[in-house]
Amino acid sequence: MTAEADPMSHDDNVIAQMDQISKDIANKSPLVSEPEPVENLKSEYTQNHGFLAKIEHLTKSYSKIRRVRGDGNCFYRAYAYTLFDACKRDAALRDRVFKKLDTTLAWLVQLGMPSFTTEDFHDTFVETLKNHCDSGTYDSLMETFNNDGMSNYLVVYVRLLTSGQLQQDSDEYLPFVEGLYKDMKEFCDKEVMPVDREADHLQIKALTECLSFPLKLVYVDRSEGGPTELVIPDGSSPDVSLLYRPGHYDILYD
Amino acid sequence: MSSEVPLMTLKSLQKEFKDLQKDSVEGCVVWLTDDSNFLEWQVGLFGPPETIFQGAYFKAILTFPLDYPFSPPCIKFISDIWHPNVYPNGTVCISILHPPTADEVSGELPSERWNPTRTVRTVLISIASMLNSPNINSPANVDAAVMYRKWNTNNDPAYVDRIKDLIEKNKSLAESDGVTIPLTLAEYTTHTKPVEDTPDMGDLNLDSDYDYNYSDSDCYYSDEEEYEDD
Repeated sequence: MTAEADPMSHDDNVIAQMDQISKDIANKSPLVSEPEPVENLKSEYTQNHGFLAKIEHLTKSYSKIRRVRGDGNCFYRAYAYTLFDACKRDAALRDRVFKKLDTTLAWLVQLGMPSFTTEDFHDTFVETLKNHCDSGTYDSLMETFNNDGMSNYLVVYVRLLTSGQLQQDSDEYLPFVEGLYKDMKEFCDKEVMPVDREADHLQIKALTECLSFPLKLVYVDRSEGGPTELVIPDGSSPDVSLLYRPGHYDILYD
Repeated sequence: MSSEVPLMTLKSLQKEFKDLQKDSVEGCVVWLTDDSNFLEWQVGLFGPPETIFQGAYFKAILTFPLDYPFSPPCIKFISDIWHPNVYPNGTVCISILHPPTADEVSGELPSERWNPTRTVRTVLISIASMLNSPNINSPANVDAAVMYRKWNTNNDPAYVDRIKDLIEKNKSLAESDGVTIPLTLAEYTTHTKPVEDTPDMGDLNLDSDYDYNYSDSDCYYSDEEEYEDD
């Protein structure tokens, strides 16, 4: 049979090309990198004065950036990493998070997530977080988050939590996507659960609310003026900051 | 290509395999092609009794990628089949098997795309229900879709005749696989796998990663494969 006659061939080409792009990204950067000076970002924008001005501003408030691989999971991975790190250092946060996590498996199953797999993702997440809090080190945390299988398991669980919160508070969230998706379940199946779907404002708000672990988003784009800072959920006092550049999230440190 | 199966992948597959042995999907049996390789399963699919597929046996191969469950498995029929949602080379076109990035793939419900909380069980349920309820809006085999539609709307017998031929043709395959084709609804809903092919799960060493030979050349990239064109 010829390639022209095969209706699969176009999809195959697209899939093969996407695979190649993913592999190129994977070969270039770790899932979670070691921190580096924020100044390093300047070299990426030598021709772009709008961005350069903002990065100049950024260096006044933040000293380090920890890059997270741009594979469609960067928000979720960055969030999970900062959560693990923060839980190790903050006993009150740790107690709150574990208390919440203990309720999440039954809650997700009740919302209709498949228990057979959800249980696995839940148990892995809780056990890994517990191990890290009990006896983890910086190196073991980096190892965990740079191990493809393990790191992705953790990402899937925060995606599940995001889906759960969005579906539970559907009345609040659905108006933002009405007309595009018939209900929050469809939104989650299409925009939250697939492994390469990046998070947008709704997903971020839902996840930070679910775990009561807020964050500050620092937006850097071409627009005039300094970076825009946004606290999610509104009115909270986050200890962690993520840098947002169009389509991508990294972790920022003071 | 020789690769190492990541531990998480192996654990997921073993857990799912065990679960399907204990509680099978209606109309499906699964077993391993080679007991030491969890990345390739054989699937026997039976036609539901009291339908035109009564007595039918089809056989497919399920192949899992090394990053399962983050990427979906592939399923490909290796027995003859004539179905609107199966390409003539045996590759199955259902939305649940599409990687999340493959957005171009025709008009299915996006909500049915693959994600890591899905399982082989969800795939088998889709395949079993696809058999007698094809989706003719996005056919993989246009001739089969047209034939099906003519039968469905005008009672044109060509589709049913074709299925009858296949039922006869595949009987010997079931025999050589040691599988009894269920003929009543009761048998169909309680059918289980050929017992002698069940591996001993206790002998597997889960503490270390696992080596074996794996070729992914069968998945998706179907352009150059040969098949009998009717």
